[in-house]
Amino acid sequence: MLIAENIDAGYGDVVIVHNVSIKVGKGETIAIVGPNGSGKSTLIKSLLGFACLFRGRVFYQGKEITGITPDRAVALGISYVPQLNNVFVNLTVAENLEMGAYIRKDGTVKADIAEIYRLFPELEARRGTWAGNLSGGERQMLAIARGMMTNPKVILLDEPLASLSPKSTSLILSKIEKIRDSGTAIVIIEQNVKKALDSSQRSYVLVDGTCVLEGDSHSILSDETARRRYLGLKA
Amino acid sequence: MGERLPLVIYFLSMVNWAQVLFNSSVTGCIYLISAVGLTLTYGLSKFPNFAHAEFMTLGAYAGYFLADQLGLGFPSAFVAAFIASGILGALSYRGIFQPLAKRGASLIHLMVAAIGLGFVIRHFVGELWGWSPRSFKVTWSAFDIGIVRVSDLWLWLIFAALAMAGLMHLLLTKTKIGKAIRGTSSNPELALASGVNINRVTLVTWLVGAALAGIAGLFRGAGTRLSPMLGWDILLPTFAVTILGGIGSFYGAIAAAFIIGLAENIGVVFLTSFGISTEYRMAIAFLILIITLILRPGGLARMFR
Amino acid sequence: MDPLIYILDIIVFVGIFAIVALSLNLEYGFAGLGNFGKVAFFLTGAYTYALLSQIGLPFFLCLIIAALISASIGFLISLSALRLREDYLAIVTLTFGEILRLVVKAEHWIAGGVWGITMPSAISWAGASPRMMAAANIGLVYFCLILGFILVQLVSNSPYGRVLRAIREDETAAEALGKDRFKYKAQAFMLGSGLAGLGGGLFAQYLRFIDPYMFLPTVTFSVWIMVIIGGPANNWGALLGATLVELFSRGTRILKDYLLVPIDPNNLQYILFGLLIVFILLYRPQGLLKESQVKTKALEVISRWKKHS
Repeated sequence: MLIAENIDAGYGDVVIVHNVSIKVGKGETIAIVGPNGSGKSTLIKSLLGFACLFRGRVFYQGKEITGITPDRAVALGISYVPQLNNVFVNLTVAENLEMGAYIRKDGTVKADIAEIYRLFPELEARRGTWAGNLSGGERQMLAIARGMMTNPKVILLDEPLASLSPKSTSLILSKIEKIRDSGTAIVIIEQNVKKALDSSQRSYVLVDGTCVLEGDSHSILSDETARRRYLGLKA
Repeated sequence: MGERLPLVIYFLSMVNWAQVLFNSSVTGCIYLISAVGLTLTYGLSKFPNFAHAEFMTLGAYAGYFLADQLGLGFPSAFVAAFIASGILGALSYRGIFQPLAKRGASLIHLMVAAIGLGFVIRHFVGELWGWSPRSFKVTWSAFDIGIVRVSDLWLWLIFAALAMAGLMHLLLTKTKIGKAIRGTSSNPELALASGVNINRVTLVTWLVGAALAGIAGLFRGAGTRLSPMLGWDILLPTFAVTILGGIGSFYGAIAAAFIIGLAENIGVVFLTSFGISTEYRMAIAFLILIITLILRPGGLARMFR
Repeated sequence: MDPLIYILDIIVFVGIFAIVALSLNLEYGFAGLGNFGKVAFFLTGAYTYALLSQIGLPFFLCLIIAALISASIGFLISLSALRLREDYLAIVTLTFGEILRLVVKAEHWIAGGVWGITMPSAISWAGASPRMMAAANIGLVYFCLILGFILVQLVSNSPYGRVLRAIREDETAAEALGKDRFKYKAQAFMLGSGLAGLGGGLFAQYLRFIDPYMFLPTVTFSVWIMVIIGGPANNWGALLGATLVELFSRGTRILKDYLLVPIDPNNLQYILFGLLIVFILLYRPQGLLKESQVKTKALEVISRWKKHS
């Protein structure tokens, strides 16, 4: 569904990501893991036009979309949920969801909001609250919910588990699973290697801007050398 | 000071405080209309547009041209002020500030450009209508409501401010573009990720903001006199309202406009009673501005969003 | 009017505003401070000079004290204002200039309020012709300008000047290097204010009459144009800018006298200034002259070595 080939990406004239290729298929969850500063976010942002794409090609549903702008990417069905500042703090929960549906002209927005509330009953209870007053977990839920409101075929989640409590973490993970079950392709960028690999089918491990390992999440997780060398997990 | 004190107390006891309160809301209404546009464009474009002053000036003169010089009557002045300043604001954004921002101009460059634009408009107005002050031929009838002396211009102003506040509230909370304006102002990157066309949203904001500035200028000109410095003279309190209210916050601006209106009018009473020049009226807004920046640079926005 | 006097008059004004432009260049060009209230310090210098010369102090003392008082006001402002964000600093300095003008306008007892203040001629001797007086003024102004130029040139090429540029480019990095950026910014602001005060003192000394209307925000704006046209962070650029702006503004006035253009020269001047600045910011934001390179011993050696090889 979304394929990126031989990507070089960065900011200004600094190249952070070197020759990385990834792909995600329909109904699939992939994880991009790696330590802080390994270029995970830069890679994803460059595909959508938030960061500079220096080299490589991007395909979406068989068509080339290299060099697309963020707003056009949304219109095509690629949704991005940033790690930080991922809600409109001065808008209410309900308004945040409406902003998610900004580009949509179909009449099913209301039904979709109801659907989102079914998936996230926690948000429905706080629909009139300023997003800036939500707790960390609620905020992350709202961020993902806003991303879902664009009606995406693929959703890119930038560190959805960062700085969440264990309880919120498992809650968010269960929501992500439900989203996958609905048929949306998911790309999770995470530092929390164990959780990310557990909940994805395939994974890419990035170190210093290059992809050092890719493959089936379960086999990576059970490979002792990989665990020790790249994932910082005990064997 | 010592022998003056009884005099001051006597003076203060003679003050018609109901009148002061009414005057305060009149002042607040003008500041509100002028500050709404400034706070919204400041919030979206992230720089203080000093040429906002000249958006007010042009509005006042455009209204004067239609109402007095062409003799179409005062109501036509509103239409003229709204349209002339609105177009000017949209053109300024499209022709100057958007290209500058696209070329990566620094904040200081944007501010210098705004001052430059202000000079062009101000002296253009000076060239067309001259530098000596003018005034509207319309005379406003004054009458008493209880112990408060009002004029129909001021009642119109209060009505216009209330109508503007109501319409802006509906625009910002009920329409798609309004929510996009608020959202883009606080989080432009996420707005982009939601598919918002930021350029269009910003253009609409500049248009509406400048048009409202034109209305504020018109009221100021009708209440006092028209001069090319008209906008500049109320730019400082407009900035004080914007910053006290919190940049980009419409609701903060409403509260701040009335706080500053009240502070100025009460301040003038005290200045007069102590025998100090009322020219220092402007210094009151300045003082509030400085205190806000030092103690609470975010202004009141957190209370109102 | 005697044409020679007219030319000498232009030369004096170029010199005075070159000093003020140098001061803004130090603050903005080198330290990145957006001072939009330059006129406030120019005013402080001018009024200090006027008041002191009225009580009979010799002119050089008046000038020195004018610069010192202006610098200390700059210091007081910098205590609170320099910690502010760039745009807030601009708003605060801009409005400070307006408030200061308001004070001298409203308080008649300080210096005559709106009526202005006249001061005795500082440079005069028996039998001095207007031409000789003007020439003497040129001598005084350019003496100060050269001193000021050497000062800012030394500052900008010193390690100190490099720190200022580093702060301008990247505040966090400069702080990580262990340089207290606030202290350096405050010093640059103080020095800049002092220089602007000196310019104001010379202005008052030359005109022998000042009133609040001479210190409108237009003064600040003109100085900004000088620095931006000339090229920020280049002291020669500031001199070039001051010369061009002054000649341009005289030019529009001459245009009125000889060509009978149907537009008020004052309006024309500021309309053109405004368009010019917008045009420059759009198409040549670095100004006419490039940022000057830092001169150090090591770099000199390298360049000599390059030449030989």
